[in-house]
Amino acid sequence: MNIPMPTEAEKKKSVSYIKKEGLIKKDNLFSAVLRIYRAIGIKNIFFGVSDCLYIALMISAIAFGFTLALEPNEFMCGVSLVSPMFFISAQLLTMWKDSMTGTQELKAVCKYKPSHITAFRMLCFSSVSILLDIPAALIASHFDLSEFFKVLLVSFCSLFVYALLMTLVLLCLRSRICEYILPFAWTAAHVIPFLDGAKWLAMVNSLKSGFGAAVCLIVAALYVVALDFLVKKGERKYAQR
Amino acid sequence: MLSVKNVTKKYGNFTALENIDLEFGNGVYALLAPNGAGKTTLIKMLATLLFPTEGEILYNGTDIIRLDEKYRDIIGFLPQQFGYYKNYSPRQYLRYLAALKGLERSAAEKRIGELLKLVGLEDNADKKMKKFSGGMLQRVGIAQAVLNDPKILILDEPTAGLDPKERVRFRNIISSLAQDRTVILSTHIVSDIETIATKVIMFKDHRLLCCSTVEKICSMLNGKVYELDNRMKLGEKDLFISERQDANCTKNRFVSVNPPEGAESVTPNLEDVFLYIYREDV
Repeated sequence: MNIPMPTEAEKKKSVSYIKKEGLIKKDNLFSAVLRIYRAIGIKNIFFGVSDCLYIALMISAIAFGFTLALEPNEFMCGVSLVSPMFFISAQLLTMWKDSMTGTQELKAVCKYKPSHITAFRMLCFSSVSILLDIPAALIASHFDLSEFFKVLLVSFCSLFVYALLMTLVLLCLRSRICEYILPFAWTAAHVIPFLDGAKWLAMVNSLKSGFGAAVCLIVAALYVVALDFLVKKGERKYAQR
Repeated sequence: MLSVKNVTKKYGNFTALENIDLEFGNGVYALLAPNGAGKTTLIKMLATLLFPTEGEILYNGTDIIRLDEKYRDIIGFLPQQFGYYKNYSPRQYLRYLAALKGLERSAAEKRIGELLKLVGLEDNADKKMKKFSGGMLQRVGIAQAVLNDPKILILDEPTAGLDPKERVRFRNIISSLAQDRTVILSTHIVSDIETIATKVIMFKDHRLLCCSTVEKICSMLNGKVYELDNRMKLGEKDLFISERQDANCTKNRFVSVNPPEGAESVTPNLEDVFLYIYREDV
């Protein structure tokens, strides 16, 4: 009996068809962000939350004013506390507004996933925070370049640590309440160094700037990896298995 | 073709749905059961908002969870509580949802205009939704659900808050939409679906009780539904269903195997069956 065997070309074509149709490619962070930006646009990514962004900017300005009024030995601790303030307030307010409007279920069944939009928004919030922290550090350090880099390093480290923690909360915890608890925990965690500001300042001063920069880069890289996971796995609150 | 295969959903120790097997083709499929029976759980699983604890839901043979974006692209969903931004107009909100659903801008504009007309909101299309009544908001909800011309339309209690005129308009819209797509809607209001449902799905004790046409479901009470002047006493085993005002007197409607003398046999309707099946729950 003669069994018709496929040619090499036919085999390759079939394998590539099976791979294309059968394997679902998961978006990585940057492809998802790019795709969402092209398909939805910035205006729709921040639809209905422009008031939240305005309030977040106001809160950040007030927090910056508060840092300038601090005693020298409390200053670095204050910088660490308020550097992610735009990120914290923007994230918190947009999340709160989304839940208050009851639009989450509706968005969760749309083609573009809420987790992709959350990741995009978080990237934007952290980028804006970086942009805000640079002039803030320059003013706070009274244009003293060595002090400026030190303030900037503390600002960025603090921002990336908070952003990483928030991403982990979204990834691992199902309860929405945790997303609201984190900012308070962040503030509470800063009370301890505030009580002994001199020690905190001495610790920051003793750190080599190279070491600080390395820590900052590592935390930033971990934040990007966590955001990538968020894009691939989605927010835990939507995975109600 | 959408198939629910042996699906069970548990929340901890509580079983909301057990061993559900269903097949959905084109037409209107009405999930009819009292509150708490598991309708919303099934609806949410079909909309991928919840995942089955056991079993799977397949669309044309592929698990809807695996289909992911491809599946979400072909469904339209109206949740029980329709969320909206009160400071935006329906047109702005629909534009936003159209973008999230992946519609092209020019196609979306045309579609939004058509849908606002279809749901009777063309005169209020640019007014802020904070001024809208419950019925008007629900109509915006229906419009957004069909925005992407979905092959599967999933509606969770869509007639809540609609007045009688709007209910009729809604029934007509659903009826015409169901000609070339699957419409799955949950309700506990019998009149919403009695005339338009291709099949009615009922649950009892978190299991599937039936999935059949209105006629077949009603036939289970053929020759068992009666009406009697309410001054006459019903038998002990007779099950009282409802009361209705006649020209001269009030009549009791009831289910009976051995009706009392003077009882008049009537044709059973879906409400009779609903009240009979869920007599302990309603």
